[in-house]
Amino acid sequence: MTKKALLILFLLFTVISFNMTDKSPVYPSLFTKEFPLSTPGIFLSSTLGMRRLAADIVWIQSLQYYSRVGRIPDSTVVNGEKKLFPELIHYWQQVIRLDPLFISAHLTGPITLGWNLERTEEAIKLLDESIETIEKMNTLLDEKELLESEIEHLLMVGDKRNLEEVKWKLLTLKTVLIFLEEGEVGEASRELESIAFKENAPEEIRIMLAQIYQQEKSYDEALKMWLYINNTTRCDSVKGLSARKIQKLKKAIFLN
Amino acid sequence: MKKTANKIYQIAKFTLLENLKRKNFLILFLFVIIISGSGILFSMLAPDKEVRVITDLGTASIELFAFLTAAFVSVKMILQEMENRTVYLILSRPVKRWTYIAGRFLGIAAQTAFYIIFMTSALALLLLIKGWSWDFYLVGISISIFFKVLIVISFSIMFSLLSTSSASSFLSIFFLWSLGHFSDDLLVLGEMLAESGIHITPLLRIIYYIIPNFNILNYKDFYHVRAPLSANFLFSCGYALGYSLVVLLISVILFDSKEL
Repeated sequence: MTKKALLILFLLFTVISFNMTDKSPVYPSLFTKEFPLSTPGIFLSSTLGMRRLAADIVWIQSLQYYSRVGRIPDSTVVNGEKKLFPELIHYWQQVIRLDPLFISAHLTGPITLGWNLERTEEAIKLLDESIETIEKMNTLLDEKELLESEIEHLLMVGDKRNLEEVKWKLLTLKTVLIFLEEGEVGEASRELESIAFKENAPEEIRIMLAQIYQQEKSYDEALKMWLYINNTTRCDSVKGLSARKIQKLKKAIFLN
Repeated sequence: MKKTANKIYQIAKFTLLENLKRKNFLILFLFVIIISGSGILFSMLAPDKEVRVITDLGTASIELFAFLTAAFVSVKMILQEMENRTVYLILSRPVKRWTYIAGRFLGIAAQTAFYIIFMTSALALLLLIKGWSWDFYLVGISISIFFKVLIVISFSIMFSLLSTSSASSFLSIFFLWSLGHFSDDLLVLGEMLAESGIHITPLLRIIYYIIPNFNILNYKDFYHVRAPLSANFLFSCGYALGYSLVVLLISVILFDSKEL
């Protein structure tokens, strides 16, 4: 009798606690997304509750795929033209669909496509998806009553501010890519300057700006940018690249 | 009351010491090797996102190791005692069956807590070396993992009382673990199937409410969105605790009716 009474009591406690918790999913279900690169690991990670880790793994896969060091780049022929890294857009899509709050992926993907590979159309397609995702996530987080009560938490405040900022960064990047497509390099560099020195700006934005300065023969500005990259980067290959660029630019400034 | 509490404590202590003797803790060294290796690997593969990747891999490994040890230890211990009849040694003394179950549960929970604390400390140390600035979320994630594992321990005890094979018990727990993380997707799947003319949404909804919902405690995936140690966090932990107690009580009822 006591056991049955206790069972009912515990059951009630469980039901009440369950009702009080926030059960709305933070991320959209994987069933609602398309994954162009079929990776069974994604669903496995979802069923084991490891979605962030799955996004990290695809992020590393994307970097590995795009890395040219010691490998022949993946390519295909489209309309008689060689297209390098044809699957790159799919890799980036996979990352942002797995973790819609993976901010670096939202920014790095379009830069590699639009600036490095000069495929503005694909970059803008990816940017549009990112902007839409960030808008949805912002609305989703705003609509949660619970979050308002937790607003004082430092992490939460950081993220909510970031989402607005991320959307703004993505819109700026889209403008830059459109300017570059139309040959308006001055306008593009002005837009980039507004985000390049922000704390969370990815390295690719700074590299992109440094390269634009160099193309435009603004060697002093380019040198400043490469020095900044050299001081802030944690990546050995970027450190090496920036060191070489600094040497070259110092020579160019000296000769001029 | 004091006597009963003392008996539960003694059984829990015995369980903890027994497991330490069995050297299950060697799995912790495997964890240390994995996260140290990942520290070196990710500094080369993803230098920009090193801290994020190590945090994600580290917390996922803590959860997986805690789940595996808790499930294996619970299933193996109870089943072995039934098979070897060593359970008689304990029950022949003035120990009630429910005290035995409660003691075993608390002993395994204490062991898991010790493992989680050790692994979290190792991860925090590695992250600090990599330039991470201390944040309380790591503690929040570890607490949420512990509460998830409490449900696993209670189910493992129940399955080991129902089944005679450790393989089938373990597979059932693994299936439940997956389904518990998949619960949100079950509802979406139901809606999608309904659009295609297959109406099993009510059935999926029943399953959603019955199975343990591990997603609400999945702070390692959502720590940057759902703040740890908030009211929601406490309710989630309360849910896990209540759920484990319900399963444990069912186990006690099953054990009482079992002929040894």
